[in-house]
Amino acid sequence: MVGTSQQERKEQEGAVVRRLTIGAGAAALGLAWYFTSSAATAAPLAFGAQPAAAEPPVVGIEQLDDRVFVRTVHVPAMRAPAGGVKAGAARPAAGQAAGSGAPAQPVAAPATPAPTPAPTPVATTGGSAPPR
Amino acid sequence: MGWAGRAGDMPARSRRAPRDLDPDRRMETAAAGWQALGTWVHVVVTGDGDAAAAQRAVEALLDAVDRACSRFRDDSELGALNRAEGRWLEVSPLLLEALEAGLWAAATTGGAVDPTVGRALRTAGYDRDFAAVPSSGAPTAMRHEPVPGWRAVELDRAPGRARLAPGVEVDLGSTAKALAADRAAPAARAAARASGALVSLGGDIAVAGRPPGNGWPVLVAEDCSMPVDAEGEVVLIADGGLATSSTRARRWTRGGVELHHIIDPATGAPARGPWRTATAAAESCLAANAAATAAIVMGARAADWLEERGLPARLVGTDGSVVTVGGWPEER
Repeated sequence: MVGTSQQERKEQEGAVVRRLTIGAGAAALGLAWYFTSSAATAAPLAFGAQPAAAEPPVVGIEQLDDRVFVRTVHVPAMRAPAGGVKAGAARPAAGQAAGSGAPAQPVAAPATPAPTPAPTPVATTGGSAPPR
Repeated sequence: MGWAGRAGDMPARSRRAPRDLDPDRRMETAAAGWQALGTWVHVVVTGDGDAAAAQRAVEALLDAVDRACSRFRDDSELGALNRAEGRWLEVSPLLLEALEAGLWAAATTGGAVDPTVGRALRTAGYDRDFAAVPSSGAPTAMRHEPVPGWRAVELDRAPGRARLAPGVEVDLGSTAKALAADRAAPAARAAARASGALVSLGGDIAVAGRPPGNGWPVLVAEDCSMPVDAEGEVVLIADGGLATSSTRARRWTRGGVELHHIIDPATGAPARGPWRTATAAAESCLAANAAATAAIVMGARAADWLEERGLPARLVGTDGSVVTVGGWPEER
C-alpha cells in the first residue's frame, strides 16, 4: 500500500484478477479454492472499505510464484454489543397491582419476588421519522 | 433521510428525562431534544451530567456532518462530489470518514447497503429534504436497474480525496447519521461531564460510558417519534448501538405507487420484502444501522444472515408478525 499509487495498485490488481480468472493457470495451481474463499471474505482496500470502528482492515499479500500474487483485505465483521440486549422488566399488568379487588389467598411459602417495574424508556428506536 | 434541518431550530423538548410519568419508574437522567439532519435528536445523560452542555456539543458535531454529508445542500461537500463528474475532489476528514463508513457497510453486507443509491432515490422523488418532498405526485421515471455499486467510489486517504465514477450519486443518509450518533455519544458524555450518555438520531441510538442501572431502557417501535411512554417492547442496552430501519417511515406516492426510502441496490427500486421494520443491535450504531437496513433489503434470508453473525435483531413482517434472532431477548 504505502508508496504505491492508486492507479498502479489497480493495475496490479487487475492483472491478478485477469490471471486468476483466465482459468488454466489458476486451476493448474489449484488456486480456485483460494480465490473463492478470499473473494468471500475480502474487500478491496483500493476502494476504501474500512470500518469506522478502531479496528483496521487486515491486509495480506501472498506471492504464489514470480507472476501471481493474491492480495486480500479482511474487513472486520459486524459484532454484537458486548453487553448484548436485555429485556426490560415487565410492566405491571392489570389486576396484579395491590388493591385490585381479588380475594386474598393464603400463602404457604414465599412467592417469587414481584418483577421489578420497568424503568420508563429514555429513548425510542424506530424508523427515522421526519419532523413534519 | 433529510439533512436540511438545523440543530437548534426547535426548543429543547425536555430538560429532564420523563420523571413525571411514573415516580416509581423514573431514572436519574437529564435529556434534551431538538431537530437536526431532518429528524429528531435526543440526548440523554446520566443524572450527574449537564444536558445543555451535551446538547451544544452534539449540535456542533451534527452541523459539521450536515455541511459535509448532506445530499440536499448546494454548499455541502457531498453535493460537490456528486456533481464532480468523475473528477477527484479533495474532501474533509469528516466526509472521508463518512464515505469509508458507507463503503464498510456495503462490504460487510455484501452490497445490500450501498451508498450509490443517490440517483435512484432522486429519480424516485426523494430529491430534497424529506419535509419538502410532496407526499403524492405524478408518475416518475424510475430506472429499475442495479445501482452502480459501492466499487464505483474511490478514496485516496493520504491526500484526502475522493472520486465517483461519472454519473454516480452517493447518498450517505443512513450510515452518516449512524456514524454521527457513534461520534456524538462520547462527545455528549465528555461535554456533560457525565458518567454515561445516550444519543438518538432519528431512532439510531449510540451509547457511551456507564449506563444507568442495568442499561439504557429503550422503547422499540416502528417510528422514532413514538413517545417513550407508549406501549411496546422495552429493551436495555449497555454499550454499542441500536438502530431501526423501516419502510413505514419516509413514504410517498408517485402515480399512485407507494414508494419509500430504502432502496434495494439490486433493483434500484424501494425494497419489497417480507419485513417492514428491522431493529438490530451491534457494537456500534453504524453496524446496527447497516444490519437493520440490510435485513430489509435481504428479505427472506435476513434472519439467517443476522443469526450467523450473532447480531440481536427484531424483524417485523409486513403482516405485523415479529421474529427475533441472534439472542434478542424474549419480550416479558
